[in-house]
This record gives sequence, structure tokens and C-alpha cells, in this order.
Amino acid sequence: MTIYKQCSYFIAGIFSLLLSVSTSSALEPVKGDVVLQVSGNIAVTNTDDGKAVFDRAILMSLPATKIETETPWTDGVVKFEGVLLRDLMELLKATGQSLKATAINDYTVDIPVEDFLKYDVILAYKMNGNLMSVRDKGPLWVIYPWSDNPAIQTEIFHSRSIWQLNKISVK
Amino acid sequence: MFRNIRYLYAVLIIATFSMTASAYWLISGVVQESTKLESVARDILIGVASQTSYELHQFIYSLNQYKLSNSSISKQQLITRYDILWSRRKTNTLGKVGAAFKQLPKAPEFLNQFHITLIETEEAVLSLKRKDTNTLAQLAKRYRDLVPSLHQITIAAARKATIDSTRLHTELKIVGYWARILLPSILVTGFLVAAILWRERKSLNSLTQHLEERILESTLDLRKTNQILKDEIQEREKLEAKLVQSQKMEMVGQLTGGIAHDFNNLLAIIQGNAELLETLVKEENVRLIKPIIKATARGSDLTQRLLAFSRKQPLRPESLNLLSLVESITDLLDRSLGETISVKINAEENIWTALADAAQVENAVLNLAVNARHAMPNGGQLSIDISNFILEETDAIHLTDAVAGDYVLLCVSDTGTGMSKDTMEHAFEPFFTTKDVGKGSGLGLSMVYGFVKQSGGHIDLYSEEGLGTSIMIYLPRALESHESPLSHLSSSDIPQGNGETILVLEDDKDVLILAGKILTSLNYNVVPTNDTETALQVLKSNQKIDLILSDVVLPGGMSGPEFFKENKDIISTQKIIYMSGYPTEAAATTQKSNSWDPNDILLTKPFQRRELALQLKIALMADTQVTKV
Repeated sequence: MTIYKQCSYFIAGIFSLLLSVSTSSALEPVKGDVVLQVSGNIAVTNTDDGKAVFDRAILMSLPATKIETETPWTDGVVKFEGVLLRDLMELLKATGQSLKATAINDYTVDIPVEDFLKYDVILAYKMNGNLMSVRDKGPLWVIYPWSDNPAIQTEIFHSRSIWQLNKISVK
Repeated sequence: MFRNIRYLYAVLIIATFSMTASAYWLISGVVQESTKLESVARDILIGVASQTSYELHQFIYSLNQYKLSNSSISKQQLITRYDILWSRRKTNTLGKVGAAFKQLPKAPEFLNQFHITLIETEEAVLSLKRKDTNTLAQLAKRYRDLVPSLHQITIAAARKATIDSTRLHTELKIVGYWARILLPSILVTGFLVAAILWRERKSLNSLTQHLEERILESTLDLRKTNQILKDEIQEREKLEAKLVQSQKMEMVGQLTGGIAHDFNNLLAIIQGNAELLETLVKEENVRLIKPIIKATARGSDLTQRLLAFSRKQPLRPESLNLLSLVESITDLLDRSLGETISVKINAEENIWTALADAAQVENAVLNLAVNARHAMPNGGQLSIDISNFILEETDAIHLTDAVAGDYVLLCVSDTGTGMSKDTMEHAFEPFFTTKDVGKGSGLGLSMVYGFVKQSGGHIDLYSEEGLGTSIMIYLPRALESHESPLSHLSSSDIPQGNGETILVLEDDKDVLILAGKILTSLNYNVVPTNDTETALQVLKSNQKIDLILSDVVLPGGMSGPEFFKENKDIISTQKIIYMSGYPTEAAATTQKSNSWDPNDILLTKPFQRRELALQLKIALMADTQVTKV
């Protein structure tokens, strides 16, 4: 059942990503410090070399989602706020099966598309109401809704929760 | 049933197999999973430690690179590296991961030192100038000092992981060892249990079956035995009841017979004297004597009936065709039963002749008919069935006093009210009646009973309340033809004698005198004797004796017939008339000595003058025709 569900989400994900190729809309150019750079199979870009870059302001202008959860690296329940990875990829008309995420310290991990299609995975910029600095594993941290989904309280999903994220490559 | 059990065991075995297999599979799965999870957890702890180590080295490297003129590292990058160290410190202290890290040996000290270093170098890092090589060198040194202890922690994490995994491995080995022993054991046990159950069930089944059969058998045996016992008890009870009944009847009969006998003698005297008186008194006084004679006649009638019941009435058995006898009284029956009751007579073909007193049989049938009418006030049917009946020895025991042999059965049945059990018990007793006072004598059935018994037959009663009553009379079959000497008697006059000489032998003086007077009045010459000696003297003398009139019971213990048989040589006449108030007594004594001759005439006391006269006449008239053995 779970496998079937995951498969269907996966197929639906590809389908929706393919659909979004047909239309194109402009992404406004970045003004402040770049906090995120998205490359790879994306249709919407704002740089000459075909990448999409974001400062905090652009990201915070996108619809925000809040997640309250525990994590193995924090004490107690923490309130995170950020953009749904799903929304972001839709915005960029991304096509592919996974995201190669890279952190400031060059730590990398692959995030399958079905992860954020099935769960509300966010690119968090706020923790307990405050913007996150590098010292707080900011400025961006991929957060899964663990407390609401015991099924993803495993090492595999924990390992995909990359912090100090600054690059995404859609594959 | 058996097939189903076989299937059941097959299923049980398969279940044991599959359960064992899945248990094995589950355990190995769980073991594998735990091993994997554990190793992942260890890796993460090692990872966390080494990642911090890596970031520390990166920062030290960045510091060293920063002072170079052609360095690719910007100030911002350096600060970021510094900030990353801060985040590493948080990772090493916060959450589950931090907690696990703090458990490692020397980790708290390291974290403390790490924190102090970060705080103390913060200002220097943030205000760092590329050319300030001295500060850079100092900072690098400060952070290099952290490396050995962090390295030790990393090694400790690795060692811990190794130790843990070794311990886990050992435990798993033990589990595996036990699993290898236990699982086959479970399998074998399951198999054995199934096999044992199979065998147990089988033997239990056969045992149960055997037991059930035996129980059934013994139950049947017991039931049979019980039934036999019950039957025997019933039989015994019936017999006892019959015996009691018959003893009671016997006793009542003896009592009745005794009274009747003595009373009869009294009656004989009264009657005889009254009759004599009748010839002597004046015409106008005869009317005073008539009632006396009438009363004695009635009294005689009563004693007759009582004697009938007590089986002591004089009987003259003869060969009878019961069917012709019953048919001859059909008119009489019809008249006494009335219009509402129909009479049906059935008889078997070739019916045997019965040996009984015809008049008494008629009397009995009429008595039964009267009872039947009483039982059927609203009409019904009276059936008279006549059939041959062979009473076997085995059947004979059911009828008290009954003797096996051939009988003619006369069955008189009505469709009346029937009798209650109580009534049935007393039905044959004298003076017992269900009729209203004054309507019945209560002697009807008693007379029939006595008559049948005296005739050597049996009587039985069957009745059901609301259905009717049957009286079964078994009369002995006549094997020889017996002609009744009385059947020719029909004269209505009192025959007179012609002066013939009659020897009277009677011990009772009154009776002797009476007999003498009667005989004299009948124109006979009387020679009275009151004992055998006197009689013998007379007989021995040359006096001509035409007839002997003798009592059956004589003083001196010898019976009349015995006495005359013994002295037949000196008796000139062969004509003897016996008289008795107690005929069975006579029969008993005479039969004993075999001295009874059927041609000897028997008179019952009290005899009427006419009866005596008739008997005398017949005897004398028979003359030489009568021959004796």
C-alpha cells in the first residue's frame, strides 16, 4: 500500500512537473544576499547562466508553511517556518526525480521528489519565530514534519534534513 | 468423522510447520533489522564526532590560508567557517544526538573547552585582518589544541560502536544458537504432540466405543433381568392374591356349609313334622301349617344356595351339550333380559360335551344373565360364547386349584358398566351385592362359583369399568356318557307305595323317626335302625327288605356305601337310596373307598315328602333292570 502510494505520488510528481514546463513566468531578480541557488532542470530562472537565485526577501514573499516538530538535533518541540519545497519546485517549473542539496560546508544529500510531494517538506528560514543564522543551522534548513508522521522518524529521513543549505540541483 | 480428524491433524501439522518457519523468519528479520539500525546509530555518533573534527580542521585550514596573499578565502568565508563551528557545538549538545554525544568519555570536557575557545576567540575572529599573522597563528593554535581531545572522542565513539556491535553480535549468536536448538525442538514437539494426540484419539475412540457397547449390553441385560423380575413379582402377586381369594372363599364356604348342614337337619325335622301334621289336623287348621311348610321350603332353598356356594349341593353331573342347553333357555333369557338387551350365542364347531349338572348350568347362566341385565340398565348385548379349551400345565398355575386338562368354556359377557377392582375382588363372596338392598340376594355369583368349583371346573372373571364384564366358566369335558336317572321324572302326583319293606339306617333319631313317619304315610313298611349293627342283624334275618334308605355318614367311621358294599353278600336287595345333608362329605368318604355306585340314588336332606316318594318309586320300579358291579 505504502509502496503503491509512493509510486503514485512519484508519477503524479513527474506529471505535474512536466505540465508546468509549458508555461513560463518571470522570477524577479535578486536584490539582497543570495541565500539559495537552484540549478538543473528548471524552466524559470533569473540569472544569465540559467539558474534561479533567491535572497531571504524573495523566499519570505512566497507562501509560508509552519511545522511544529521535534528533531534529533534540538531540544523539545520547535516551530519552523518556511517555503514548501513542493511550491518552490512548482514555481521554478522543475522537472526531475530528485534534488541534489548542498550545504555551505559542502555536505550533500539527495532528496527524492516523492518526499516533498507526499509530505509537507519545507525550506525553513525561521525557527521559533526567529530567522536562522549559520550558528543556528541557517539560513535555510530542510525540515520534515516528523512529529506528525512517525513513519519518517528514521535515519534515512533524518539524513535528508540538510542544514546550512545553499544550493539545489534538480536532476 | 475419522476423515475429519485426519484432516484436523494434517492442518495441525501444517500449522506447526508454517508457524515454526515464520517464527524463524521473523526472528532473523528482527535480528537483521536491529543490527542495521544499531550500526546506523553508531555510524551517526561517529559521524557527528568526525564531522565536528572535519569542520575544526576546515577552520584551521581556512585560518592558515587566509594569511596567504593569494588566498581564495574571503573574510566572510572565514566567519562562516567560524559560525559553522558554533553550529557544530550546538549539534554536539542539543537533542538526542547531543545527549548521545555527551555520553562519550571526555566529551563534556571537550565541549566545555570548545565553548570557551569559541567565545574567547569570537572578537579576534570577527575583527581579524589578513596581515595580522600573529593573531592568525594564535587562533590556529587555540583551535589545534582542540584536535587531540576531539580525535580521542571520535576514537572512543568508534570503540564504543565496536564494543556495542560485538556485544550485540555475541547476543545474536546466542539467540541464533538457541533458535537453532529451539525451533527444531518446537517442530519435533509439535509433530510428537500431533502424533500422540492422533494415537490417543484413536485408542480413546475405540475404548469409548467398546465401553459404550458394554454399557449398552449390560444395560440391556439389566433391563431384561429387571423385566423378568418384575414379571415374576407380578405373577407372584397375582398368584398370592388368587390364593388368598381362594382360601377366603374356601373358609367362607366351610363356614357356610357347616351352618347350612346343621340348619338343614333342623329344617328337615320342621318340614317333615309339618307335612305330617298337615295330614292329621282338621281342614280349617291346614292354613296354619301351610306357611310353616312354605317357610321351610324357602329356608331349604336358602340352604341349597348356601350349599351350592360352599360346593356342598347334591349334583348330578351328566354329559351336556352346552350349546343345546343354552339354546333351550334362550326364550327364558330373552324374557328375563328385556327388550333393550340382545342375546348373541356363539359356539365352536364340534363342541365337546361337558360334565356338569344340567339344572345348575341353566341356573348359572340365568344368574349371570340377571347380573348382566343389572350391569346394562340402558341396554346392550349379552354374548354367550362356548368353546373347547385345553388347559395346559403352564396355564393351569394361573388359575388356583385348576387342573390341566380338557374343558368346555362357557363365557358370558355383557357390554355393561363393568366392575371396579374392589368389586372384582369380592364378586364371588356370598351376600356381596352391588344391587340395592332387597334387590339381590348376593348369592348369585357365589352359587355359580361354588357350583363350578364343585363340578371340577374353574371360574374366572374379567371386567373393565365402562366396557363390560366377562365371566368364564370352565367345565370339565365329559369323557363318558352319563345319563341322568332323574331326567325321566315328571309326575306331579305323590306316588304311594305298595307296602314294600324299607330298611332305614339313620343315626339321628329325629330324622329316623321322621323318615319312618313319612314312609309309613306313603304306605311303606318301615324297619328303622339307628346303627350298622342293628341294620346288619335285620339284614341277616330272613326279613324281606325291598329297599334300603341310608344316611351316607354313619356312626363308627364307616360310610353308608362302604358298609353296604362290604355286606353286599347278605343284602337281598340292590336298591339303596342314600341321603345326606352334606353331599360332598358323602362323596369324599365314598370315593375314598371306591364304594360309590353311580346308580345309587342320593337324596339331599331336608328332602320333601314328594321327592322321597318319587325316588322310592323310581328305585322300586327299576327293579331288576338295575345291575350292580
